[in-house]
Amino acid sequence: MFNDFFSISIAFFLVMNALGMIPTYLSLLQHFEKPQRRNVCLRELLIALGVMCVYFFLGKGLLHLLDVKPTTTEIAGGVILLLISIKLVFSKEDLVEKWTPGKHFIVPIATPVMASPSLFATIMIFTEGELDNGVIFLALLLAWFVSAIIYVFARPIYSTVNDKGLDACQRLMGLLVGLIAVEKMLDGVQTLLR
Amino acid sequence: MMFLKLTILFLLLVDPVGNVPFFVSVLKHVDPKRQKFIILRELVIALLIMIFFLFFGEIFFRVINITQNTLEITGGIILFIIALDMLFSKPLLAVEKKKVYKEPLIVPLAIPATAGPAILAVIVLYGGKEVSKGLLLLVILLTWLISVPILLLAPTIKRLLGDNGAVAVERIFGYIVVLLSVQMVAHGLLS
Repeated sequence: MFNDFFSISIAFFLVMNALGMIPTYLSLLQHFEKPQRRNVCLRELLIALGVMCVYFFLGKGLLHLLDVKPTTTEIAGGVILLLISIKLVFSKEDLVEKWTPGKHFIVPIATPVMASPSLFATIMIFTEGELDNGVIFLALLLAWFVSAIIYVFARPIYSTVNDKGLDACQRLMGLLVGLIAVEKMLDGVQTLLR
Repeated sequence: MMFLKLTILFLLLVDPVGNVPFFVSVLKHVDPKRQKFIILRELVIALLIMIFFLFFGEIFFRVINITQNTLEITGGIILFIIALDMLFSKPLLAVEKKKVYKEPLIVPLAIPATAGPAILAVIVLYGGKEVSKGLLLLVILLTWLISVPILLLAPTIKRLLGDNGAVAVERIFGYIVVLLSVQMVAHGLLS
């Protein structure tokens, strides 16, 4: 139970990819004046938390609507996590340049930078397991909290580790997600065969 | 249940929100008043194409003897490949095409943006096999009715979400399509 809590929380944290998002985040933050930045950061973090809550309930409802069987969710979840991991490891897309400059609200900082589509998928596949939903929600909160700390200290982290280091971090985290993915797939195949 | 599930699947494949940036960029050089008319015309054409495939697409498949399991496994694999495309497509690639469309007719808005190969394949695969044609027709109509207002309001939505916001929505759709495709393959393999 306790182990599950942490493993899910770690999975959420890895998929949130706060470290890998730091360069994007900082470049988006540049459009705000300096004294504003802290407030913007906190505001967007809280909005991101709200978005995650929406993901949480939306994902659960959607799974229900789509009538996905618990046995196949594990395999499908594994496949989805594997795709996310591939995205993290091989990601070449430069989110930084793609946004039109300006003071944006909610989109893009809160979502999709902080609460990404990948996170939605991850939340969706974890809510279907045998674990209590309250536990999963707590795991999500913990992951959000750790990510929030990273975003608050984004600038000092960036100046010590710089682009290359953060890129390496993201790839390493992607590999870990890959491990979780394969584990989940194997579990799913096992339950399917039984 | 099947009705709801299919409607969601069709909405994911027609992908009205993900299509918003594309529609806006294609119609950039058209008079704003005329834009609405063109969008509506293209969507009606797309609807007619989908209905055509619903009733006549089967002819292509009748020659080969396809069982339910093959249908599910093939359908699942096709969906999976489509989902990969939705997940890994470079943002804005479609939008940045230099081509200038004067006044688009059928291509590219009706086909392939709205009635793409994915949705047509699914219509043919499902039509008359797993569900009745009448039900599928209802699903197509409902999907279409939901897509029309979204695409008519494309410029407004684009302003709200930005191109990348729309891409993010498409990514979410992609993950759900992965889920459905794996489910289909697993189900087909088991039975």
